[in-house]
Amino acid sequence: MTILAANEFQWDYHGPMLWTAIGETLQMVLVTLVVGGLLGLVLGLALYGTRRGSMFENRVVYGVLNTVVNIVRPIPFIIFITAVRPLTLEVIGRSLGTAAAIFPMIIMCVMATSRIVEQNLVASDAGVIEAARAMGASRMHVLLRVLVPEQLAPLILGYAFLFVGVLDMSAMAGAIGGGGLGQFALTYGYQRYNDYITWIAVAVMIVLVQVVQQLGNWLARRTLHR
Amino acid sequence: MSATPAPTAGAASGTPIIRFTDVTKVFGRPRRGAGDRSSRRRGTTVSLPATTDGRIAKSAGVVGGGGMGMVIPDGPLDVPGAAPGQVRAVDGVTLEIERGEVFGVVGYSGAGKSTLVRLINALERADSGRIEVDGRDVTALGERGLRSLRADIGMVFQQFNLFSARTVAANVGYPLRLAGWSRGDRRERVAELLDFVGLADKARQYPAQLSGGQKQRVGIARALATSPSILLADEATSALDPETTRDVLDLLRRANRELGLTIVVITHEMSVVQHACHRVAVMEQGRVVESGPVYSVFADPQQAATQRFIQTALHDRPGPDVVERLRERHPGRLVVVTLRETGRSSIELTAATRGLDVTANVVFGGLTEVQDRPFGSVTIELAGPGTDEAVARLAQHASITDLGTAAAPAADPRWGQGARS
Repeated sequence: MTILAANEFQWDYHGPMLWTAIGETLQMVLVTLVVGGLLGLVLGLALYGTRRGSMFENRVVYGVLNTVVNIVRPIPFIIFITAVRPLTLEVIGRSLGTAAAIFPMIIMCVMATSRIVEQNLVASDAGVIEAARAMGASRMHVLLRVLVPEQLAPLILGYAFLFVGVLDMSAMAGAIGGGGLGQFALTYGYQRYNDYITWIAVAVMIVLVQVVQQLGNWLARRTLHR
Repeated sequence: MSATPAPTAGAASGTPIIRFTDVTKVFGRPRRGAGDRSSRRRGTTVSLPATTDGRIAKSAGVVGGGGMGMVIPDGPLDVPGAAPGQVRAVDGVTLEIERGEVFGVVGYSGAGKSTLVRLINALERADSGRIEVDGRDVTALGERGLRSLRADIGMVFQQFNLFSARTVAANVGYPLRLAGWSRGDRRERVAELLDFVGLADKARQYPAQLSGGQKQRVGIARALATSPSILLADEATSALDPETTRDVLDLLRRANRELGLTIVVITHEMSVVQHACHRVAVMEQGRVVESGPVYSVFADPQQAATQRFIQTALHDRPGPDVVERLRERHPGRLVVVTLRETGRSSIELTAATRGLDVTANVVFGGLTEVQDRPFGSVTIELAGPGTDEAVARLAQHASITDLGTAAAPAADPRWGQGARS
């Protein structure tokens, strides 16, 4: 094995690993965002719909969902990964690796998304709901076909915001061998006193966040007709 | 149905399309202890000492000079008969609205008029009483029945409530979509509606690109999309400037005339009633305190509250404080001369004073139109030995209210004593 001095980046050695790490990170983040984002949308709609004064007001259902989200969300993700390890093993079949990292990431992403969705819908115009109801729209129709389209722009920005959180989670997944930029930075940067590697991993993540945020802003502008 | 507002009973057909029978709606849960939360829906509640007959001492009033005064709104009140913390937004209302008429509901904010109109399409459910709309008992309808009822009732709002993420055409087409119209039929109908409200060129724009008046036109087009038989207009012109208000009211009148639509107009502006309505109900503290054809309510208001509303629109009759100022400058006999309901469009002062040793000065007043018919009054000062005779002659061909002289004043009973109800 090549012995490397601190603070250097060797293309033939580090380069391929960096590409692999970027691929793994993107895989974890995208799968989490798509699956967790969709499930989170559903949970968020349920939270909003069953709130006091909302269309499907239901104290019991809201109380349960709200409590579950409140219990899971404050747990530091690095602890959460290890805490749900038995469940991960049960569902994924392994407790190490990229797939095993995605499972807790999705759970955490669902919780975070649900709050973002709930908050954005709470901010929607009560008059619009009343108008749709007055035209004979069913409650479900109002929820899915009126409120979600009306709040699409802030929802898109919410998802762009989530991307950063999920990227953050994916970096911690390195701790359980999840791979990705986080593990690359920890193993080849931090543990080998090679700050260049850490900085390069950080730079790549910054670029990723910039690109996604720009994309989110652009999409939100396209959908916001105010 | 006539093409213009008819002289007395409006353009209505005489058959009721909406009928309220002793309807009550209470907001808020009964309060268990002092300091508990008050009404969930209607904000603050204010406790006022009740009069002996169980009603609340009236807190609405007029400040400022005469007809230019500002109206102080009544807040929702804790009412005897409702538990503490509850508000009787609609209190035992019995009312009939006839097919084909434009019916106004006027009142201060918090009087219960918005709630009353929301009972018609069941956006609010009544606690007691019966509401019939086109023969259907609204209070007995379930969620499914409500949806078909609502498809037959259009509604426009003060804040327009357009879907900001949809184009003008998509807004207007939305109720058609709910009703299951095909894409092609929708496009055709939307074009027709936008043409009717004069916005054919705005189809592809978004609501944010429109002015307030244009937004309300879109709101009206959307409300008319499924050809409902009833249109509810909840303060539809209150967010608009006076000129745009006239345009929108003209549009509503046209919809009433050309489509035979029954329109219920909620407003706090009596000028809206003056220009657009056939009949009117005045609401105060959840009750209908007065109702009737617009012209007769304007000509002969029974309630002090009604009189104050009328004066916010007309400014023709001097209020008590104006009379006081008038007396300082005009010590003679002050007489309010009112146009008779069936009379001519002029007030003849010459005949009253001919051959008498009397001077007549016009000191206040205004003549205008209510429901396209002449209406108004002037206040004159009479002085000289022939004054008594002149007043007697005036009374023969006009309705007069004698306010007396500065030395021997008389009050105008129409302004009431404040606590009358």
